[in-house]
Amino acid sequence: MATAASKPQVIEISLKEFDILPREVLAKPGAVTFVVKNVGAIEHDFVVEDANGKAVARIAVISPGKQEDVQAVLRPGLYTTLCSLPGHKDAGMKGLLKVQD
Amino acid sequence: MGWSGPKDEQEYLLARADELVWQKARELGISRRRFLGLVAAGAITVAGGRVLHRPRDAAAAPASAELVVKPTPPELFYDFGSNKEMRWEAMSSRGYVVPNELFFVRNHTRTPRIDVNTWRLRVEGTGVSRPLELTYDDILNMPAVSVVRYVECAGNGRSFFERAYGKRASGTQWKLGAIGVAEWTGVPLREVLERAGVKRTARDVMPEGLDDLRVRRPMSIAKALEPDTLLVFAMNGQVLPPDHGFPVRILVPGWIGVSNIKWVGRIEVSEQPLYSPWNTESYVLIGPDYKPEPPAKGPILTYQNLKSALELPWDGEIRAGRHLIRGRSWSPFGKIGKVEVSLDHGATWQLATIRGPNEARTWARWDFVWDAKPGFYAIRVRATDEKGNTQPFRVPFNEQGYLYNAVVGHPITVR
Repeated sequence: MATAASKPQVIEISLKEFDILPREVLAKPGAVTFVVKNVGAIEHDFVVEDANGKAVARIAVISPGKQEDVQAVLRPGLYTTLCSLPGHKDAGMKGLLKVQD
Repeated sequence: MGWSGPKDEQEYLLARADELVWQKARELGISRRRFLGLVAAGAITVAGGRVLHRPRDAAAAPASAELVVKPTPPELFYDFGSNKEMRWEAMSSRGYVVPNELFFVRNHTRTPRIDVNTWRLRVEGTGVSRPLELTYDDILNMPAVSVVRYVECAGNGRSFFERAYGKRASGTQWKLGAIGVAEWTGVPLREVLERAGVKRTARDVMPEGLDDLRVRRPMSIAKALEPDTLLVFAMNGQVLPPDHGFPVRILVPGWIGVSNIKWVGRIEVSEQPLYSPWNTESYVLIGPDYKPEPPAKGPILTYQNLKSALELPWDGEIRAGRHLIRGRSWSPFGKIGKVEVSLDHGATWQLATIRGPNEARTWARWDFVWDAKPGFYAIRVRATDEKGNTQPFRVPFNEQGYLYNAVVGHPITVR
């Protein structure tokens, strides 16, 4: 039965040119709050995609120096964290999120 | 004539130098005046009869956090970080072209500093039989032409989607200042492709930049071969500035700004259609009126569309009285046929007078007399080109906010 402790999980992410840090993060299934800070010099966005490439969380724009957050309820599995602006993912703004007990 | 010493030698050298200038200018296919301008700007030097590229200053700019190199004071530009929008009022006392110092900047990342000594342009791919590697000197020694054309960001006007639909399209919230007209000097891309042995079976041509995202976007071979598609090395008679693509950029007249790739390092020519993130994920139309066109997320943008702007401060103030109000309209498809202006929210329209040069792919200037009485106005301008295109009153929403060319009410207060 899914009575996993529903203590809110907070994952802090930094964005810059051209990196998402930390590159690999772990979470337990359930509610996750991503706190995303742009420590770079240009705009970025933030997307979490499931294994099928479907976006499960998105922040449309984070200006340089700003911080935004977004919540998602995640099932176990592998997810990709990325910035979806053209070329940014290819240049390195891509990371891994493992959701497991 | 007999030789008789230093005075003669001086005259001889002067005559020889002048002859050399004429010869080099002719070889470059540019005017003597323009050649001397390029030499004065330090882009090229002439030594021993050869045109050399000038080495970059020894005191090279330190690795800088600066996104844009040239000064962009707030009186002349709106600041969007790596993007700087021209304030239209800055053009009210100017001539036909936008001076380099006032030209808008749109960078996907930051302006890279390129060492022209080690810079090479590679032309390669399945669509050419003789891949090339060109130096700056090679390019300056190829026949060049000058054309006057606009470069306009695909998202010029994007901020107006929010006004119209109550929701923001994503991207830089330009008003109408993401456009400039300059005289561009360069080698026709066709010339470069022919030297590389472009094949009859070539389909797409993709210039690629040396910025840290390697921004790259394909065009059809037909567009690449048009006579005004150029490999540009000079802007308004000066060496191409860093923010505008030094050493070399592409000019693709009438197409969206991103096609005009800056800091070109490579041109791929392919027998297969080419795709990049800039024609699959962005610079495509995504919205209720558009369907995906795999591998692209929507119809891929090519040509810009017809727009107008007033040389007035946005939401500014002018004194009551008689004014000559000026503006400009531009179409990628044809000359401007007529420009209509409304000062009463569209109830009545008057014709503005078009002045001076009027061609497709550059702008036409116009003006009208206004006996301005105190009040708040939203001046509407609607252009029509000679091909029958007219600015609409409504544009379908697309998520990335491209091609907004509906009639805009320019707010202005008269005191």
